[in-house]
Amino acid sequence: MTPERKSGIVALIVGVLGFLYLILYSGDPLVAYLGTALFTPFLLYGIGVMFIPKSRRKKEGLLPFRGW
Amino acid sequence: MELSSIKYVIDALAYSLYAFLVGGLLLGLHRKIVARIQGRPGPPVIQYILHTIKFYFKEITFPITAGNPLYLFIALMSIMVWMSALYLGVVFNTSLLILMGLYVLQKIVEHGCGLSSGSPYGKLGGVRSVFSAAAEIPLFTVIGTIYLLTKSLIIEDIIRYQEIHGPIIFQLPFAAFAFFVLLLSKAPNSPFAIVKDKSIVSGYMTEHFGLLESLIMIADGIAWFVLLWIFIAVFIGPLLVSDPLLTLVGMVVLTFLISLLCALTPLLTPNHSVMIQIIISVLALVDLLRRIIVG
Repeated sequence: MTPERKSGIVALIVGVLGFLYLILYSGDPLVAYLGTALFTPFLLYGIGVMFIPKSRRKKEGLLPFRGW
Repeated sequence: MELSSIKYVIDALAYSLYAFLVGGLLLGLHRKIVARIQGRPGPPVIQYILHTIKFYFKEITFPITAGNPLYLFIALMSIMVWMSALYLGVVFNTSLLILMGLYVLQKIVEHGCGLSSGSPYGKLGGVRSVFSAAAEIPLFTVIGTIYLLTKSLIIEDIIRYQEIHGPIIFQLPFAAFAFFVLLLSKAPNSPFAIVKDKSIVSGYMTEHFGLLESLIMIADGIAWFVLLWIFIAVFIGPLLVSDPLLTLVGMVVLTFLISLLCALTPLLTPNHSVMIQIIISVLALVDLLRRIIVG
């Protein structure tokens, strides 16, 4: 697994857990709003990484060398 | 599980989406106006949003020179900063000081973005971002001047003050001008946009491409919305801010004015940009001291 996908999965887990906490335990509107601000980027990144298309390159995750 | 928590989270997400769409469209409009003034047809107004969506689905790789996890986290932090500013400012109408703190955090984002990438262009963009912190000094003095007038820094109180005494822009024109320069310095292609000067490729965003660039663009869209809203709320007040439609009209007018300035002025060199911002800061400071002494 590439480091990008690994970081995406970690971000997705953090995002989902954060949102679960907000939905289940936060009653205060300020906490809910600021929590959303905190965890939405993790979710966005995690979902975004899942959309990275499959590569047929042997070294997945590494862009082909394009010279100096 | 409380239903109210779900409602708050959905409200918060809807607010962010709205701010991003409006901010993105206004940034698209900004490009369009600049292009028309320069005699080009320019991209469609929705181009900023289209770019954001396109980059969201692009592949990323961590550059070999990048310092992880800062390289990745800084893009997420950019959204966190501006979503927090949106909620604390626009939704909860809290203190201007908190918003100023968040604005300063944006400098950390720009600096961290540039330095974590390891690219010389990114580093130069990050260093220029520190230079352009000169644009924040007027913000301090503007906040001081507003406090002297309204005796409060809570946005709700400032709006209420304007309900009784009329828009602050007529009472503190220089403070409004200094804040306007801050807005201008945040606009793309502005005379003060030394951070993203094309001579250093894309400045601090050079090595943040694909998905990460998309995340930073989402943050920039929300940032544009928040900054325009703060200007309208603090200097024009309930006249525009009480009605969302009128607020949008105010934002379009402000974007139009900024676009005119961006199209008609060349990009300043870093030293000139910083010197002009320092001159404005000094004038704003003199204005503040005069108000303190005269009363």
